[in-house]
Amino acid sequence: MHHLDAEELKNLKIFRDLLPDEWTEVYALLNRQKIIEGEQLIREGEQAHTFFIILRGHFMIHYGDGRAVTLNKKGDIIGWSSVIRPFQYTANVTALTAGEVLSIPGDRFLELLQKNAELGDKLVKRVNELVSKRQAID
Amino acid sequence: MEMFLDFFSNTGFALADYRNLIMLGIGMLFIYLGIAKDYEPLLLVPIGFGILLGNIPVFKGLGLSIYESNSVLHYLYYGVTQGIYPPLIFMGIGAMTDFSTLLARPVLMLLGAAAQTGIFLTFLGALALGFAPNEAASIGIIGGADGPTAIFLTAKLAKELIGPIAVAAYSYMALVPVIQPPIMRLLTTRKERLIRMEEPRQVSKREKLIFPIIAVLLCCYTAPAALPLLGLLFLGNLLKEAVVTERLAQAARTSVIDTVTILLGMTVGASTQANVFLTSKSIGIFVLGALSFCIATAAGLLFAKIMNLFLKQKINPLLGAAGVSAVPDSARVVQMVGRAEDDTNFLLMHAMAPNVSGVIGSAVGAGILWSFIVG
Amino acid sequence: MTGIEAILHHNGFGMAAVGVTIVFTALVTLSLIISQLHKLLLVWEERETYINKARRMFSLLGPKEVRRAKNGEKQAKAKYIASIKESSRQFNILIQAMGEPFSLPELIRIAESLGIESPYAAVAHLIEGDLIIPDQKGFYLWNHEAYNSLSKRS
Repeated sequence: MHHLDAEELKNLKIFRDLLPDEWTEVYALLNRQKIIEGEQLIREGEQAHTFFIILRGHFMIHYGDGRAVTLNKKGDIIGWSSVIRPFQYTANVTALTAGEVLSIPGDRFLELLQKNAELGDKLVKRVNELVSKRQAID
Repeated sequence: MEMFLDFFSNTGFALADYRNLIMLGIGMLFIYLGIAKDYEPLLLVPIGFGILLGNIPVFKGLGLSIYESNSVLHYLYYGVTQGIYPPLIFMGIGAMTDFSTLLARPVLMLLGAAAQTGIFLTFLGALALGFAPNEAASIGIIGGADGPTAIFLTAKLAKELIGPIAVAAYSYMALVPVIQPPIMRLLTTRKERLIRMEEPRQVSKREKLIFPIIAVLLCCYTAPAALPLLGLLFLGNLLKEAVVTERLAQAARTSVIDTVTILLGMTVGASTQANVFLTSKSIGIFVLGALSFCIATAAGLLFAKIMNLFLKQKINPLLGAAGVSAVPDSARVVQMVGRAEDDTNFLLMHAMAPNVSGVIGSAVGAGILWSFIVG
Repeated sequence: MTGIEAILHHNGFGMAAVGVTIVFTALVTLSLIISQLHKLLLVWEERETYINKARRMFSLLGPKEVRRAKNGEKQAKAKYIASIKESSRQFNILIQAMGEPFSLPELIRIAESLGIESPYAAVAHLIEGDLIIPDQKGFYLWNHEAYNSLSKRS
């Protein structure tokens, strides 16, 4: 990923408030991943080790009881359980279309948040905002 | 009273000499650097603690010392002396490495190749200082800046030097942010450091799946002695890229590599006993080790400048320093030095390409040296 | 023995030169192969197009066959538009059988077992086209109005 990509990614809602130094540290953890239609990114109950940010594509978050919600907006977050105890995925996530995501290793992200409390605060606030806006299905 | 004196004569206090104390100091320094300064803690803390364990004088014959065949430490050390641990670490490294930056711009692989010149020039330097060829090869591989590779080759060629070579290799890897920047600034101009890299193309999943298979076949057919290291490196990578084996990749890059790192670090440290480490050879190893890092960095930088004479789209020569395969520290150093000139110049992901190619190059170099010395 | 004498005695220069050459050769070869890999994969993925182009270039197709190939491309486009309508028709039947509200993953599973092509992408398009709408409780409903107006379009 080169500097233009970095500019584009910095504009994602989750990263907007970051200072240049904070952004450099987070950017070093990001990986772009191409996804194919039908690919299952996350399995409910498995150990959560990665979380994802949608760049493009349509994804379905679904549970064992048949409930589901779909996400297709750039910047939507999937798999946040990888940074919250007990670090287990609470849903399945399957790609409805081919797409692209940013994948971030949860343990390294958590290390970063723990090392830098201010950065952790900013990111957790942003994620809570984004996740709470998501369509509720309770 | 006699019993008390007998007991005391078997304690470490009675058996220790000043050299043990020096080594204990070195061990504590490593632990301090690892914990307080955050210098490669995953390596320096087990190694440092191992040094403490190895320099507690013990009564021979009770199966306590790492060099006694019936001791626990000796059994754990088996993985080092037989070259088992380094390939397992490489498997974990493969399972956590993303080769897409390398696949997007394969020409950067040559910077990784150029940096391995440090291995062979150091080999010559060690021969010139009077080391035997097997020792010189083990010292030369420090220039590959790859701890597992250095330990693997030394275990095959010069077991008695594992301690000082491992300590030298890991110490200099931790000091990459100190060693490299002055050389990078010396050998490049400001204009060169400001060069921006062009956007890399997107790499497909299929390419990332096929790459480890092609790479292992090509590299191991060329240098079969590199098979244990590169075979497991690319196995780990294939497990990662084939999503269906994510569980295995996850195990390789977490529990397996962490377990092996603890055992390797601790036993290498414990093998670094005063009588093995505090010798004139160790001084030579440390001096040559430092030189090898400097030569490797310089070779990568200069090769990048030579490449720019022929390339239409210039590459930032700082990337040459990332050919030193201390992953990802040398890539981070490139990022740091590049940003010092231009805050918006993100070189980190571009630097990962020569960085990971350096891992491949150093393993091939180790295989070649092994086959030369043994063959 | 030390110095240049030691190096020459152990054939150090030879080993170093050959070693560096082999490392470079291996990595140069690898970089050449992987620089062409994505092009080879692209040719493989679009082999039909390339085969037809090659045939046309070497005039292995007569004028009739060339016209047929060009018509084939136009027909493929028309097919694509028709397939969206077709998938909405197929899913309408399926959802009528399942009942509403329905489970989205269950719908996809049944569609896949019935051999409906690309069921995941089809469902995504139906959601984007508001033919499938959420009921805010984790289940989904079929938008009959939207379906009826789509069916009326030719």
